[in-house]
Amino acid sequence: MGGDATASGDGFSLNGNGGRAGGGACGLLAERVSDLLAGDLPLAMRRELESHAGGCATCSAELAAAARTVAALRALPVAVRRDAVWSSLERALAREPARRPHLFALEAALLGVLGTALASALALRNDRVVEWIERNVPDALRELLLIGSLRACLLPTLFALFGAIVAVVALPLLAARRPPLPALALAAHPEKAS
Amino acid sequence: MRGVTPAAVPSDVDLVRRCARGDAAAIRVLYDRHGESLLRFLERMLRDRPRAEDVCQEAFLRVWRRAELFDPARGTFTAWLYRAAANLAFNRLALKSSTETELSAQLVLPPADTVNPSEEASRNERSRLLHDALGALSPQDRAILTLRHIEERPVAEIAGILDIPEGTVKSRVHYAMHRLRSVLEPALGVDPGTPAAPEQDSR
Repeated sequence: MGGDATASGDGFSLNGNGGRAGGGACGLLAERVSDLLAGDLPLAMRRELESHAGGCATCSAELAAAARTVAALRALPVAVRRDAVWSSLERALAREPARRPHLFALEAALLGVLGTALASALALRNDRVVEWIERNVPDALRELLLIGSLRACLLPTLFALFGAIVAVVALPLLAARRPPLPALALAAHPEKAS
Repeated sequence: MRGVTPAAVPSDVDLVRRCARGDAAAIRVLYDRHGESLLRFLERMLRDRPRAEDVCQEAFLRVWRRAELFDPARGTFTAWLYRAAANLAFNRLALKSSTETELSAQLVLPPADTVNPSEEASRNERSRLLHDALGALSPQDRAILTLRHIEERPVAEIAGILDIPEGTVKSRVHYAMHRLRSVLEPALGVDPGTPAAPEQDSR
């Protein structure tokens, strides 16, 4: 082999003559050895580089040294306490406030507004409800509630507002009562701590 | 076959979405999947087990708290998780005083149960040399080296995780490999100037 190599940008080419084998000046692999070891190069490029290294003493030494270094790096022991960290994480998660309760509250409040408005509008179509308001609600407020078109919208709106407030206040409290976290399935991964 | 169809296994994206809805079982599955590799990465990067565990826990808490912000169009869940962890790790390191640096890093050597004690001693010596050489690298270089050559992540993903240009990732890998090699090769009895036989398939 011993092809002369030229590299430019991300591309490269190996010429069939030049004979740098054993020359010591070839730097083709120096820039790409990590890509080669990490398996990032296209198959054709990888084969061509390996083929080049087979005939180039400098590049073969470069590749072998890098491979030895990576092998040593991977062999360096690292002990982790996977399940102990989960136990700690589980306790921290249990202390977390309810997630995004405001979103649930917003949705519920909207439903509350619509539902209460509808219920109120229907109620005001009932004469007995209107009579009850005329008997029990103070004059000033009664006139406000029952004046013409306001009758159809003001009271429902007040009811809806009340419903929304209840929803915004109550739902986060309900959401905070989350079920406990399930246990971590660690059977397949025994703790590796020393 | 074990009766588990691919459809029965939720993807990371599905699990993060479940986290966003407050499903506590989903964060457990995500930890089960990625917790150990993240711990190994952080221990290699920080060389400090308590700190690595602390950062790992905080990273998963961040996943839980910010799950709705995860955008799968911008990268994988692991890249997002590792980026959060790396940011937390660098923040912790910035807070750490220089006098504390590396004090708690300890090399845990495997038990000497091999047949050849001299070979074992030699291997332990090489491990110590490598451990010391890694300690001389910056945490960022250790992170880059780990992501590139132990976890075999693409350069682009590493650049995204550490928020640095791809060119920097490549040059730092090159530098770190050179540093480690210059320590290891003499210990292995290899003359760096002497061409060695090509290694067998490196992958």
